[in-house]
Amino acid sequence: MDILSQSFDLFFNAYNFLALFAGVIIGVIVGAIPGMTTPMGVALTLPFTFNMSPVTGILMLLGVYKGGLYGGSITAILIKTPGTPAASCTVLDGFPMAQRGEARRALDMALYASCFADLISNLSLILFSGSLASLALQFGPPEMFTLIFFSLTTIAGVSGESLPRGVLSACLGLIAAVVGLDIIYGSERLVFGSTELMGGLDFIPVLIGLFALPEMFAHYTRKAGMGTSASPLQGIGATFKDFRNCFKSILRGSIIGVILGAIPGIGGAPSAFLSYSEAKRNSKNAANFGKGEIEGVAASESGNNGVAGATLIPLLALGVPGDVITAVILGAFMIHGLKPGPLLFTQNLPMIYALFMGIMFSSIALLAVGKVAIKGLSKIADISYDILYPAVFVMCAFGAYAVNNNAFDILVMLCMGVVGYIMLLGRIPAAPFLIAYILGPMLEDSFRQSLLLSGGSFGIFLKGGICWTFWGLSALLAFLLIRSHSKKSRQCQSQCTSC
Amino acid sequence: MTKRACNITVGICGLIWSLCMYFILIPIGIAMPDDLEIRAMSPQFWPKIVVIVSALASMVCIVQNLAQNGKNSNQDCPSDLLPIRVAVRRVVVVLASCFAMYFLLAPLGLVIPSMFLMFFLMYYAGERKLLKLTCIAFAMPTALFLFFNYVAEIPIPMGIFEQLL
Repeated sequence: MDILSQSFDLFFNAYNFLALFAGVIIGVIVGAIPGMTTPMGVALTLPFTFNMSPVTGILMLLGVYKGGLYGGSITAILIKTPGTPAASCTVLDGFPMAQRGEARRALDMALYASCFADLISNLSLILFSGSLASLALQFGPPEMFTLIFFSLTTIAGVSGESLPRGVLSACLGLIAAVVGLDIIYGSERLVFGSTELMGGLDFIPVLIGLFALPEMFAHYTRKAGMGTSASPLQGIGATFKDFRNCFKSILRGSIIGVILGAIPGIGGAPSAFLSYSEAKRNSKNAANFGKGEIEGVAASESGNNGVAGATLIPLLALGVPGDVITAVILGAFMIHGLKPGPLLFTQNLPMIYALFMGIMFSSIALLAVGKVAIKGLSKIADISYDILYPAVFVMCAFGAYAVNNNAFDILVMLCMGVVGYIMLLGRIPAAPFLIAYILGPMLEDSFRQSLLLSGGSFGIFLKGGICWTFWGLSALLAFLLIRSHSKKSRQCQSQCTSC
Repeated sequence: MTKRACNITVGICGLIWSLCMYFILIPIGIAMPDDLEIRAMSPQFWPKIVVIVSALASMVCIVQNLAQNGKNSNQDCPSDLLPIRVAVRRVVVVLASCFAMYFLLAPLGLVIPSMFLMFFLMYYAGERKLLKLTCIAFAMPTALFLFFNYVAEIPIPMGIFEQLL
């Protein structure tokens, strides 16, 4: 009881609430600007927290983190330019909804799904941090390889009408991820003497080029007056019925987010795609996915935000940062003289409880800030495309440059825009490219690390229950997805013959 | 182009790309270390697996569509598209202007070329209100410059205008 009252004293003061709200606002703005990544936002906010108390400072950073995860989906829905990698999955259904004049509904659903998933993730952090962290610790390179391999089955879920074209797109993404220096031998791979390519292709220019630019190029091939602006937005937000219809997908996505978030190094993007793929597989409206299905937005956003609390599990329980953002937050802990890990729970329990209270409150802060942001930002969908696309291009160019302060990234963005446009013409889906581009390096690294451990024996991938579980799940999921694809194409063929 | 013809073209292009990668680009672009003990650890091993998978996917794409009855493939001619020649010309012009902005970055910085590009792209898209165009083309890059330079503290290149600031 004494500890609890100390925790209340630590948490309940106006500064904490203000810091949390300010953090969420900064995060939403940063997330919504292409090129401004959430880690960048957290890093930029960090110096402002030096003079704050540990709880206030850390809560502000957590606010930026959570706001950033949601903010990425705003531009993904409105202008097909995901602010964060994880929001790229939201584009698939969010943008078609915006084109239909349902931007407000998509944004509302993205917010509700984000807040719910965030809440579930926070609860998991509080309830299961110990046990989930110990499970995550059992993941060595072979287990990681099988997990990522399992995540790659999501490609089938976002391949659209043709599975081979989806696989082809994924292979392009895997090859793009190869560019750079080899991690083991340090030899150049597909660099062809360019020093700029040695560090590989940065994710943000690839993301912007692949999603935002093809749409702009395609706009110039349409007759004047076609798609000059989206339909009006007034009064068409998501209803409780929408939320209830999507609830299963949101819950599933939240759980996927929690599990993947607890594993260091996975991040929000694979979680969002896996959640989307599972929602599509189980939905009654599977045929509408990719064409503006609200359940698709809900699934991807819940998967994306479900990782938010869970990434703090290895950080708080073991002192292991799960991604770049939690690494910055780890730095904040250290600046305030705290060392995350098991000892933190014994030495600073009131502070941990105060942080947990703040983390729970952050979901409410996200909901409040998000609702205000939607009202203001959804007006973007009313702007004429003749003005919007050039403005988006300029914003993308600044964003691509800002990632590394490197003009070469603008060239990468333009080249990826050309690749994306060619893919658009050939009806090759861009999402598998992106999933493979994200997961490719992790897959290859864990593959080669495993072989290094085993001295070249492939038997290492069949050792242990975790590996077998993921092989089994991959096989089952691949079978189900291929069967549903072939069923769909047979149905389509019979429909075509009858007409 | 019909959907079927498009799929076959994609399959053929994918196959050609895979073969080029496997036989030309990977051997030239990825150096093999001398002290290689395990074949699977080679830097070429993983890209070659990927390329083999892409070749297989391309072949499946071709075979699937060749096996389909030609009558079943629906014609895909969206009515909102411009004639192909005009569309190609417009895309080439837009692409060329975007690349021109990149090449002007070193001498002129990011802000001024962005203003000109934005003005041109909006005009080319069909917007004809010159005052509106000028205001937006000036305001947007300026706002982005001010945000990145002074709020996010990311220096934006200004080229020859660097000394003016």
